[in-house]
Amino acid sequence: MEETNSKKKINCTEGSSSSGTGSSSSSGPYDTVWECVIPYVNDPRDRAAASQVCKRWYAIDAITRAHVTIAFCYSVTPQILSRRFPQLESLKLKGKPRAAMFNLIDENWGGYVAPWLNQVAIGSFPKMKALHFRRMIVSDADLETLANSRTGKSLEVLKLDKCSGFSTDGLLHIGRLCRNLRTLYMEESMLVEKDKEWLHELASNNSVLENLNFYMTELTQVKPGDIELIASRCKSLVSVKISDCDISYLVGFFRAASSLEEFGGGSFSLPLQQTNEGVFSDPFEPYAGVAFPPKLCGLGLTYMGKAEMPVIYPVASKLKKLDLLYSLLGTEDHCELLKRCPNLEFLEARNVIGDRGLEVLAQFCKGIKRLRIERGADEQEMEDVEGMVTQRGLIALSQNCLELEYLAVYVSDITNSALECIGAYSKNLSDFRLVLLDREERITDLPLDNGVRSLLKGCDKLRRFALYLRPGGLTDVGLSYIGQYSPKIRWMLLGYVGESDKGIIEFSKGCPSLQKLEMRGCCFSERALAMAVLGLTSLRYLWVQGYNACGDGRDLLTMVRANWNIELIPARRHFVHDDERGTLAIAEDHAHILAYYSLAGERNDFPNSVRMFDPSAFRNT
Amino acid sequence: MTEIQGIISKMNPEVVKSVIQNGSSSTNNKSFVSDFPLCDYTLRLSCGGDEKNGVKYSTSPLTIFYNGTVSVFHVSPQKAEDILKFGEQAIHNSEINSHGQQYQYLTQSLNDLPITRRISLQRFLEKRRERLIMLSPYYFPTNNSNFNSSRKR
Repeated sequence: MEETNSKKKINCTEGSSSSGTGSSSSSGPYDTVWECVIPYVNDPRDRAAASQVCKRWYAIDAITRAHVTIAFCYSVTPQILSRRFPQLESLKLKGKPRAAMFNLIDENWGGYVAPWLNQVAIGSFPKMKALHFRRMIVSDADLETLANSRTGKSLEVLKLDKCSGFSTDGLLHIGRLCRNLRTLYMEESMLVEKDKEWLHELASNNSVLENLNFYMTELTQVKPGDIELIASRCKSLVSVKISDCDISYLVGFFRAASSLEEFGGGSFSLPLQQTNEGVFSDPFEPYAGVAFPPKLCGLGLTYMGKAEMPVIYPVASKLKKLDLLYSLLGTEDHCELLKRCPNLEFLEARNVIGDRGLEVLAQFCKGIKRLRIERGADEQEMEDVEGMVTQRGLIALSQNCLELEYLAVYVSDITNSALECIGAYSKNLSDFRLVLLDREERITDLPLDNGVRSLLKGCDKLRRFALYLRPGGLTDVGLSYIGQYSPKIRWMLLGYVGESDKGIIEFSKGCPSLQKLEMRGCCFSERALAMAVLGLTSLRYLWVQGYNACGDGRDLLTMVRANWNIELIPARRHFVHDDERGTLAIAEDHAHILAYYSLAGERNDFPNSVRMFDPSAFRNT
Repeated sequence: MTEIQGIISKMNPEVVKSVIQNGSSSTNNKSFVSDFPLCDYTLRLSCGGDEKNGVKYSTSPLTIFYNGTVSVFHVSPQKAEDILKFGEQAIHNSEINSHGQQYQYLTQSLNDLPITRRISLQRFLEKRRERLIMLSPYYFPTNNSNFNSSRKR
């Protein structure tokens, strides 16, 4: 980092300017100070503020800005970006709404990388080294274009994060031509596997790889030999996360990857067939020879069950990161394992961890900083009977794990006192997400108005907040508390909160920093939503699914304004199989509203399921 | 088309008869396969009738298989929606909550706007189910069974 800073430093002699902007007025010594300081100013908000001081500072910011995150790809065009920040070294772009991760957005909704990669390929960003695309559509042709461009030759980071639309053919080009890649990341991308050659190409052409990630992809033809080749050629290999590949085939890989700090994926095969006596062989036997590299401190093994768990024991005490989301452990197994991980900082697990597992965390893993508890299977026989997280676990956790910065949890039951406890103890919390599962009919303590207020008042570092409840979970008063006590929160996801339009209107009088709002299952009318949008002063992005649509949408006219695009995905019905009743039923996909600030005008790459809101349609009525 | 049969077969025969009677007067007993128009038309945001500003909405064929006969009606999207709703009520007999329109909307919504799962987890849970089947073709889920107990010796 220091190297980059000094490279960016403009000549710091008094009164001179090497940026060549042609600006005649100069404030002399102040500019010089600024030129020397600016390489160390990295927070985009600070940069944005500085760039508005005067034209000179704007120009300096423009040519020294190294990284930009475009939170929504349709808010600007590639051309605008290249004019504003021509010296960009790193770009992160996000496309589809977050709801796409939950199967709520059509695959062809949009978010194509092509216009951006074309801009890169024609040389608009000569210093570009790192590209990160999240929830976007990438084609093989796009990857080929990138690989063949000058940028491709020097590219160091390529992240296709939850993307779709490409295949291993595209990866072949990358592996063959992007020989400077330090990071190739494709986690959760939906790509088509045509062959296994791409990995071999990568292994043959690259000796500087540090991070390789194709975790949670459907690549099944992975050759352990290719992964081992990468490990032996790339001495700086630090993190590897792969798709399914039996761990017993990776013994050689682990031996070769001497610098490895993090490993994820692999798999454990099904137990061997019965012997003549009808007894299973020891499932652990094939894995007894697995020895993890000496620096390993992050681990997540797919399909790891109780029998194979001991493979982790030798390194458990060193583990800082543990991923149990795709393991096959019961509640007791979680307790057994977590007892051995006193240095744990980041844990992901399904709610099978249970309250008991959280109590073990509270006792043994007091340094935990990030905890994500996901929703397991609904059928009781598929998960442990104890596999539920409730207020009991949350209270134990918050009282004992004071370092907590990120907490995301699916709970089966909740109380106000649990939320109050979090507010009282979790002073480092910057990201809090709570989803109340809908299986239990009766919840101990609803509404959660007071608990939510206490939590928000107590956790004053909160930047990101999600609360997904059910009717009756939060009254209008509770919703107004969220507005009142969220000074720094920039992103919110709210589900089934409030009781009437009054709630959202009161809410919108607060939340001064709220930039991105997602809502689901609201009882609010279009008029109330539109008024709320106008009330939220920092709002630049809104996504809503499930709201009180009555009328032809004309109430949305209230929020029509310059540079504010409004897209609709009308409701539709389709047949689904009702598993419980064993019949076909009609399911309704509720309408979506997506509204966002944009300098790019309306987009023209939307599918039939999306409609642009057209104010002129209402002018004659 | 068997999908529609499934729905229709659940309906009260009297209901179906009256719906067919109330449909378009031009009945057509030709049995041709056409896509149920659900996926084609977009439900408008309005709750209006078949007309707006004197402009009639165009109709599409609605095919109903019932009791060995095939009937095709040309109806507007709104009419099709009404017929569907009618059929749904016959199947589900949903109760209307008396706490006011917005709360009613919410309680109905809870059922048809379920919490969806992350795609990655959904895929994992499906694969796990497949593994269980492969593990033992006679696997029988029982209450209170820890998954691991099925793999014990």
